[in-house]
Formats: sequence, structure tokens, C-alpha cells
Amino acid sequence: MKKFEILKSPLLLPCLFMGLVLFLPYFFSNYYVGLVIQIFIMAIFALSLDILVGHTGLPSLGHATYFGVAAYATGLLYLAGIKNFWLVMVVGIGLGGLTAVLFGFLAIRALGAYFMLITLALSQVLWGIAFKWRSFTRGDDGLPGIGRREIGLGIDLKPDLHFYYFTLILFLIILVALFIFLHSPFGYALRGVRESESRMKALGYPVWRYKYLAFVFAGIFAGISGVLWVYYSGFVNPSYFGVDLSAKALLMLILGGSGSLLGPVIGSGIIVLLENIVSGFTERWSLILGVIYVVVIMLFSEGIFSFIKKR
Amino acid sequence: MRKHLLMMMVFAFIFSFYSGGQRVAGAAEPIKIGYLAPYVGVFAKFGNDLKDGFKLYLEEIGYKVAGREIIFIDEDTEGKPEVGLVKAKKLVEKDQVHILAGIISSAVAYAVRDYVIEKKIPLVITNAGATKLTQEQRSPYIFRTSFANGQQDLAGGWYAYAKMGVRKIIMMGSDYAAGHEKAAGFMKTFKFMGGEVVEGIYPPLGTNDFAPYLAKVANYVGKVDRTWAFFAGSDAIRFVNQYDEYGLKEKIKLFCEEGVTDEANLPSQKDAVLGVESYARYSIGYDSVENKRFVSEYRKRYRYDPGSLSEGGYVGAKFIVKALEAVGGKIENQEAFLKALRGVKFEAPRGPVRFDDHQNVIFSTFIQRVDKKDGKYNNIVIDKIPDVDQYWMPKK
Amino acid sequence: MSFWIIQTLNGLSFSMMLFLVASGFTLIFGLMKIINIAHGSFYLLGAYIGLTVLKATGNFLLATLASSIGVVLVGIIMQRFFLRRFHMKELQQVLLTFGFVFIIADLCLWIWGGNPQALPKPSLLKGSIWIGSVVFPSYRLFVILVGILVAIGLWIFQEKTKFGAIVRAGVDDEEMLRGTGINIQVVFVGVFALGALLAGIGGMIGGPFVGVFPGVDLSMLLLALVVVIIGGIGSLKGAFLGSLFVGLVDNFGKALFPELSLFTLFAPMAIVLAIKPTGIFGRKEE
Repeated sequence: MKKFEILKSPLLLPCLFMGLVLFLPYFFSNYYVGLVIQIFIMAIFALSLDILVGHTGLPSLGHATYFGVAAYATGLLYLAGIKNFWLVMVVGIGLGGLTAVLFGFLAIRALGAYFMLITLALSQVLWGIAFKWRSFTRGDDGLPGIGRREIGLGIDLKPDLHFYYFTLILFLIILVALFIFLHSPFGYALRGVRESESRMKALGYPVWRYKYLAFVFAGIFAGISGVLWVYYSGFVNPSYFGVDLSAKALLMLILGGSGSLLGPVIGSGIIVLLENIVSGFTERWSLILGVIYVVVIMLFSEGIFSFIKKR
Repeated sequence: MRKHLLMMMVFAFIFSFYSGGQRVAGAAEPIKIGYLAPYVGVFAKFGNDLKDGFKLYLEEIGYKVAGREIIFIDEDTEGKPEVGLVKAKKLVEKDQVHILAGIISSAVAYAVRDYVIEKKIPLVITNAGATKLTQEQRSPYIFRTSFANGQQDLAGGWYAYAKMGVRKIIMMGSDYAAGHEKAAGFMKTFKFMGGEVVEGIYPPLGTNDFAPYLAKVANYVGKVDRTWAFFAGSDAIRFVNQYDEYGLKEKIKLFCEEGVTDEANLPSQKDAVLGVESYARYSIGYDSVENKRFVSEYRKRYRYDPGSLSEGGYVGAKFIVKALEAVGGKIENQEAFLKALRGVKFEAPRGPVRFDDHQNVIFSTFIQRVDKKDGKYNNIVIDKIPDVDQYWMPKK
Repeated sequence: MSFWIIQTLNGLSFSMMLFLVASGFTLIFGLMKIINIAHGSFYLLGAYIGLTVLKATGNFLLATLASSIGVVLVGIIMQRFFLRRFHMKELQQVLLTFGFVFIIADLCLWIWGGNPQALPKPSLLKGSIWIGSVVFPSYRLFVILVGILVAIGLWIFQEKTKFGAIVRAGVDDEEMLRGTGINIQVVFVGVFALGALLAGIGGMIGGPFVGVFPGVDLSMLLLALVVVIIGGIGSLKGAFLGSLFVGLVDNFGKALFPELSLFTLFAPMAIVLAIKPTGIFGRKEE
């Protein structure tokens, strides 16, 4: 049995994973590289939502708002001729965060299902603006043809391969940042709020401020994923504010298990792959996707990750 | 139970990564055509018509050309550019297709455009109308067998002034790129001839209730000759029905883009659409041998009436296959194939078709009217304007 | 003058259709705190079933009956076998209903195809009537009438019947209701089915003028959302007044300032959200 000992090392899985993602572009075609880029970006999005859902206990049904705002900012700035990649990125993310700063005031007042309904309504307001304010957003036609540029040091993001490593690095940075953030006293306080708001209040914590700050941070991280997604797809349209995107991120959390760092990543990996692969097999993939929602909720409600752990 | 499900999912992924073979050149190797169209949501009907038409031609030739088999692989774009691009990559890199075809939405076409040029894969667009694709942003790899937005509209605008005697008109169209491009095409020739546009009303896509806009139109009764309209799908049904309900149909007659009176809409518009005139790149009522054969084959195969999208798909497939015939099925010699494709000419259901210098199709534009026969509504042809290209202009 | 009469009637007819859809949404939310994303799917299903029966029999009443039975059954199945297991787990419930959106939409696409359709009007109501110098479609008057009748019916149900009293008590304090020994599960299933029924009738009534096509489910959900946010979450009175407000503002906005149509639907919602997130007639939440 000794030769299997190495299989039990706790470092094995992360090492295998890193090896796989580092060398993946050399084994698989561009198509799969694209899929993995999608997974990274969606994982960032799901992780940002998990700050609210898993750590603070605020189930947002409008998280696409900040994704969409950052995406539109990126698209509009690019088409306005702003050449500096980092400037566009910072403004995009900043506007995503700023939207969260504003919407936080409106949404944090509510709890549970009311909170969901209000976040949903807010995201729909922005959808309405994107859809109908044609002179500014070009409405349903969206903004096509957004390219990737040089990011300095002679690195051009245009080839998918370069963009792959760029998103990978950003993804890893965000993972580390979130790890630090969630293991700080602030992170523990958030989970305290999740467990019992009244107890935290009694202990003298400014609960509202904690929730509000979590809301803003979640918006900022969602903004990062929005910017990346535009550079990945080269396109923005009102569906970026859609309830289906918000719900998809929630599904990723539920599937992978919320309240951890690995869960949302696994969840987004599974959902992105399923979407792309199932649609290649059958025209009825939308039906299958619906069934997946139902099956996931009915069977893996606490997440596949926790299911594996319990085994 | 859960464990099994989990394992099955994992295996499905691993399996899917390994499927998809390597391309080996050779004459007996099948020719693969990748097809992109939306099959969910609002565009589902359009996507299906387009595919049905395309496949009808492939079935007619038994999926064989010059001794080589044709494999048709289709993917759902959901009408979303980012999805369309991923699917295009999948078709090219995983399935190793030789040609891409299809595409309903202009946004998807733009997204796929750069990619196919980079990969040097011929793209035959069978619907998306954005003018730039065959004008400012044209490429030797991009062909369009359907129409450029505004193309048949150029002929329509001229016809309204010169043949119908329209002098003043109200423009009504959906508020999106295609709506504005089509309106612009119509107005270009209409104004050129000396016509006057008195009002432009552009309701958003998916307008549930046109009544408030129609109140505005009602103010012009007796002051204008016609209302021009372009709406598609469910918008077209609501628009025509409500235009009739509010008593405008007889007071200010409609002159529409073909999308409004598409064959698929007629059973839901019924008497509200009876007698409405429109211009079209394809009319089911065109009296030619080829069209009659096409309509009857299509009805027999699919049990519904072909619309302009069905014919668009059919013509797209025929363009590709004719070019393949010309090069003896040797798709691998891409230069020869592209040259052959540029030169393809044939008699389509809509009449003679060929490409212009920018690889956009030239066709006849029909003037048609909705008629009722044996309780069934269909468009009949009342006039025809031959050889309309994307830059067409009338003489004064 | 006739312009104002016509536009008011237009707005009212649209309002009443909104009310049919929004009232069910708000009932379900009020009692069970379920955000039923699949609410528009009941509209879709109701309209399609109605269309099929209408084509086969030509009888509008029969079609309404069949579509009502259809959506009520689907509603009961959804509540009884799926949502019930996740009582008060909002997240799971929302995602379940979201799954049903995909399932119902794609099944409808499969069965009825993607071709947009309009339900034929009942033959009695095909014509138009003259008001002053302009015509007004009589079907729209019928829609207004149905909306008012349903509103009255719901009011009687809620205020005057025992079941209604139980529901009201449940909205206010569910715990206490459980204590009284009433079988709350029956109440839940009943209210969910009633909500589905209202949306299904909305599909039957709205089918002849809004039509039925892929995507109408989410657009109806959005309208219901706007109405409910403005009128007040969980309140029938709010849904009625919210529908009136949205229908009229939207209609006059489009008629008078077509270029501002953006603001007619979303600006009121944004303002209400900013000032009173529970809606104009919503109760103060806990």
C-alpha cells in the first residue's frame, strides 16, 4: 500500500491542478483554452457573489448588475478610443464598485426574499437602461468589436494563449486576495453576521456597515469578471444584466458549495463545461439545463464539494 | 445514487475532451459544413426555418457532391455573439469543418467575422444583414447569400414613389440596427425620387402594445399616402393586428418590409393582413418552375410554408454545393474553391442569383400582396424589380 | 378629447392584463416568500394550451377551462414535489423556479414550435366600437371587464371567505397559523395553484393582443416585477393600483413622448426602490 501513500498528500490535488492549467494550452486546442478562460472568469464572478451569499448571508439575485456595468464601461471606453488597457480596466471595475456603493444603500435595508427581489429589480432597471437608451448603449444591438490591447512590457493580449495566462494569473491573485480577506477579522465578522445578526449587534458590531462593505467588495470583484468577460468575448449587450446570469452564478455556488473558495470554482467549472458540451449533443440542451438546475437543487443542495468531503 | 451521477458527469467531460478527430486530407474524406443558428428564445423559429431550407438542398443531393460525402454539423448560437464565437471555434477546431454557414443575428456575424478571417475558413452568411459585412468590413472569406440590410428596401423606396404614387409617408420600424438600416435604405431612394418622410416612429423591440404609437399615426389620416413598416416575429403580428383594430388599415395603407407579412405570421394575422402590400427578396407566390417545385418539396418535407428564411437557407446550401461541384469536391484547394464560389450563378426559387464584387448576393425584388384562397393566406406577386444589388439606385 | 378617452382605455386594458399576471406573483410571494421566476411560464403555458384547444374546438370558454386546469396542475406539481421541500429556503426555491423556466420554455418550444402566434379572439368580441370619432377594439373593453371582475373576486375571496382569512393570517404570521392546527400545506398548495391560475388566465386573455411566443415568459415576469415593486410586495391592493399606475403611465408616456419610453417603465420603479423599497402599498417588513 505504500506506493499509494503519495496519493494522500494534501498537496497532490492542487499540484496536479496547477500542472494541468499551466500546460493545458499545449495539449488542447484553442477551443478548450477558450472554455477554460470562461471558467476562470465565471469563477471570479461566482467567488465575488459568494462574499455575499456564503459569507454574509445575503442572497443576491441581481449580481449581474456589477458585471454588466463594468462590461459596458469597458466597451464604451474602448470604442471611445481609450488606448490604455489598465485605465479601462480600473475605470470599469471602479464603476462596478460605485454602482454597488449606490445600490447597497437601497438593498441592504431588506432581508432574505425581499433582498433578492430588490437586487433583482435593481438589475432590471439597469437592463432597461441598456436596452432602451439606444443613443448611449446602442440597445439590443450591443457593442461589437471590442479588442484586446497591449498591456505594457510588450505583452499583447490579442492571442488567446496570452489572454489565457493573463486571466489565470488574475484568477490566482483574486483567490489569494479573497483568502486573506475572508480570513481577516473582517471576514470572521461577516460570517458572524451570517450566523446571527442580532448576536453580532448585541456584541456591538456595526452590522449594517459590515454588510454594506461586503456588498461593495462583491461589486468590485464582480466588476473584474465583467471587464475580463468583455475582453474575452469582444462584445457587450443588455443580456449582461440578465437575471439568467445572476441565477447561473447562484447555481454555481449551490452546486460547488458556497462559503468556501474551492466550491464556486468547481461549480463554475462544471456549469461552463456542461453548457458547452451538452449543447453540442442536442438541440434540447436548454431543457437539459433546466433539469440540471432542478437536479442540483434536489440532490446536491449543499454542494458537490461538501458531498465529496463527507465521503 | 449521487455518487453515480457524479461519476457519470466526470466521465462525460473526459469523454468529450477526447472525441473529435484529426483532419486527414484525401478525396474520400467527407466535407464538413459547420452551421450556426439560434434554436432557443425569440429567434428559434428563424433558426429552424433557415436550417430546414439548408438541409432540404443537402437532402436533394443526397449529402453527396463529386463523390464526397457532406457532413452537416449544427450548433446553437442562442443569438448571442459570445456563444456564437465559442461555437464557431468548436466547429473549426474540434470538428474540423471546412466551411461555416448560417448565422441569423448580425451581432453574431460580427463576432465570428474576425475569427474566420484569422483561421481562413470560408463563411457563407445565409441571413445576417448588417451592411458592413459585405461593404466596409468585407473579406474574401465572407460571402452573403441572403441580403444586405437596405438592399431590397432600396428597390422598395423607389417603387413606392414611382409606381404606387406615394409622395408622403410615415416610417415605423423596430428600434434596432436592422430596423434603422432598412428604413435608411428605403428612405434613400424614396427621398431621391422626391418623396417626403413626415414622421418616423421607432418602438423598442418586443413592444407589447402598439396602441399608443398608433394614436400618433391616426393624426395623419388624410395627410399621408402610406405607412412603411418593418417589424419581425411577434412584433409583426401585434403591429398588423392592432393597426387593423384601430381602424387604420384602410385609412393609411401599409407598405411593408417582407418580415411583417412573412408566411409564418399570416395564420396569426388573418384578415388584418389581407390585402397588405410589401416588398420582398423572396415571395412564395412567385410563378416560376423552380419556385413551384421548391414550395411543394418544402411543404411535403416539413408540412409548413417556406418563408424568406427557408429560401435563404436553401440558396446558401446551393451556392456552396455548386462551388464544390465546380472544383470537383476538392475543398482543400481553398483558392480554387473561393474563386469558384464567387462565380456561382443559378436559378434560385427567388429567380436568378449571383454575387457582386463584394460577395453579396444580387437578386430580384418582389412586390407582393397578401391574398386569401380556400381559407388560406399567402403572398402573391404583383410586380418584380430585377437585379437589385446592395448599392442599387434608380434613375430619376 | 377622443385622444384622451382612447388612450385611457388603452392604458386600462393593458393595466388589467398586468394585474392578472402580477396578482398571482404577489399572492405567492406574500404567503410563501417564493420569488417565482417561473411565473411568466404559467402565462406561456396557459396561452399555448388555450391556443391548441381553441384551434381544435373554436370555443373560448372551453379553451380557458382547459388551460386553467393545465397550469393549475403544473403549479401543484411544482409546489408539492419540489418547492415544498425547501420551505423558507429562498435561494433554493428561486433556483428551482428558474430551472422550471428553462424546462417549460423548452418544452413549449418543442411542442408548439418557435413561431410567434396570436390567440384568435372570441367571435363576439372581434369587432370595434365607435367612441366619438375614433374606433376602439371591443376586445380591449372585455379585457378591462375581466380584470375588474377578477379583482373583485380576489377581494371577496380575501376579505370574506374563511380560506382568504387563513391566507391573510398566514401572510401576517405564519408561525401562529401553524399553531391553530390548520393544515398549512394545503393552504400553500392552494395559493400557489391560484397564483398559477391567474397567470394562466393572463395568458388566455393577453394571448389575443400580446400574443404567445418564446420569450414572452420572461417579459411578463419583468412586467409583474415592476408592478409588484411599485405597488408593494405581497399586497393585492398594491398589485391592482401598481398595475393601473404602470399601465397608464406607460401608455401615456409612449403616446405623448415616444422618445422617452425608457423612463415610463423603469424610472418609477427606480424611484420607488430608492424611497420605499417595500412599495407604495407594501407593509413594513420585519
